[in-house]
Amino acid sequence: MRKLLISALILISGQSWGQVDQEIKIDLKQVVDKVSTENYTVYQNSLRVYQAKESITVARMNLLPRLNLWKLASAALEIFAGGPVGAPAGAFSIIEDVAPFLVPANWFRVSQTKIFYQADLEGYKALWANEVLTSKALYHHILLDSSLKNHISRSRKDLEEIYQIVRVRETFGGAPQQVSQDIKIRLLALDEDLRALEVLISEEESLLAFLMGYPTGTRLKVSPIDMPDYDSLEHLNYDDFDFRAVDVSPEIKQFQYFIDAADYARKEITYSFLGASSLSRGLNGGIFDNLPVQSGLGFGTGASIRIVRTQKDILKVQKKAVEETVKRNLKQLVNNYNLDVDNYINLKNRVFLAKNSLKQINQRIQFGENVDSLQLIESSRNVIEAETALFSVMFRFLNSEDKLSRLIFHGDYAKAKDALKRIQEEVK
Amino acid sequence: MKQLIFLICLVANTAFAQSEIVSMISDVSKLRVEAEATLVATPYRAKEHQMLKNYFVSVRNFATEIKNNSRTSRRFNSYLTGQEMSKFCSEILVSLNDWEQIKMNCTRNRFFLCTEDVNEFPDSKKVLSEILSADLLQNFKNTPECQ
Repeated sequence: MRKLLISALILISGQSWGQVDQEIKIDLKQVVDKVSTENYTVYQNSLRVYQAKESITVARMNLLPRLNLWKLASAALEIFAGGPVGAPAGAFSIIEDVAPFLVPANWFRVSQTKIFYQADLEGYKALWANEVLTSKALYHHILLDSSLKNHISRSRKDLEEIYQIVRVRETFGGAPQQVSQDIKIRLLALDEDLRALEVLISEEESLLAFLMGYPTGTRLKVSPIDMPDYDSLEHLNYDDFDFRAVDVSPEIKQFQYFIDAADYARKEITYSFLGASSLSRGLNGGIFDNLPVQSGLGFGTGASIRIVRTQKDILKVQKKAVEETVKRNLKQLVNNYNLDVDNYINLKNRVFLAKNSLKQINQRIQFGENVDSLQLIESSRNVIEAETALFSVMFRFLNSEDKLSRLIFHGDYAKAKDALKRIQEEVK
Repeated sequence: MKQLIFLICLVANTAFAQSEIVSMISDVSKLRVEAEATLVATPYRAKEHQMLKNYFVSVRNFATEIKNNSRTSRRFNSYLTGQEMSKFCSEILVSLNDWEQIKMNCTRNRFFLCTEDVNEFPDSKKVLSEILSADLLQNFKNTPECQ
């Protein structure tokens, strides 16, 4: 009995160990693939596209006759029992149910639904690209912070050695008492930095796991990436990129689809004297839902047409604003990239000089010279700051290149076509 | 008399159909000439990019428009039967060499900077080949200007 109990306990504890903190090694390709298929926001949006696709079927099918028994009964009553204007009025009152295809507004609604589906696809493409961009940036940040952590650990180890040397010299009276104390304060500050970085990396890994659709408790281990040859990087020219950035932008294309749909909304109002449509424009059609469409020919029709025309103008202005935003982002990106290209050589020299200075001070301490503690601490801080700045620029290059790729749908973002194809197949 | 009227109607209808196809080809051909003239104007700026886009979009639209309309598709096949395939292809398609040159000129700092329609050119040619009848397709495949 006792044996059985012990085995059960071992089994339960083994299971609970297996459940938490599952560690998965990932690379950048996996990040792109997993975000494309498992990311909650991307998946939600793909379902929305599916709804938009189904809205086309709903709109098409609603052109066919539908059975509304109560309406039929009331129309029959009007025809046979004689309503206010007799049989014709009864027949016409059921035309929207029996022959909805005779109402032109319904056809315009179908066309709008098709356009809104295309707009939804573009929206999906933009959202997918943004999620991939965020995930890749996070991956780069984890690598940057891990590099900084390793670098600070190394610096701490070097400082610890100096601390031991200084302590010995203080004991034998070769150095003033304050030096070791100052070094200890610096060591404690580095310990704080290390702990803060550990927490930051853990938070970044947790967020990346969430973006990749992993369950809570999954621990990610990111693989290193091939860094570009920084010495060969050249300045970028804004004029080279601006056409492509505007041409491929899904955000701009989405607005163009809305503008195209506005033409059908105008036609719908123009032909409203043949009946208004009660069909839905689909999920994205909300932008036209507040337009005043009246059933029948009334004195308000002209004003309604002017309102829809203005709506189209509003959309055109919004499209222009999005276009300018894309261009502004591109300009800013190119400027920052070029700034980093210029700064990279400086930073490399700064690291070299700071390291050299610290090395000389260390050598002086080892040879028994009296060294100003402030000078030593300042030198150690300089190395850490210079290397941190260099690491930051190196990873900023990666992020800038990735942002540029997102803007012009290059590299991983060229997979947007596959993502769209997959979603179109899924919604068929 | 009835037969004569029928014959006149038939000829008029065929001529109208042919002129529609000829007009479509002529539109694409004009844009091809512009695109070819743009080819060497590197580095491409907005104007050149727009010209290339106009051409490659027109080829795609030409192919899809014919493919999506069975009547135009039939007219197109009957028009091509009486034409030299090499002449037709050199009218509307840029040569493989020129296309590769355009693609090369479109790439700067390892980024592809032209419209995506340039890359989709082979897809447009594929759509075009799908419209053709078996004999014409064989001819299309064997004609160097169509590759």
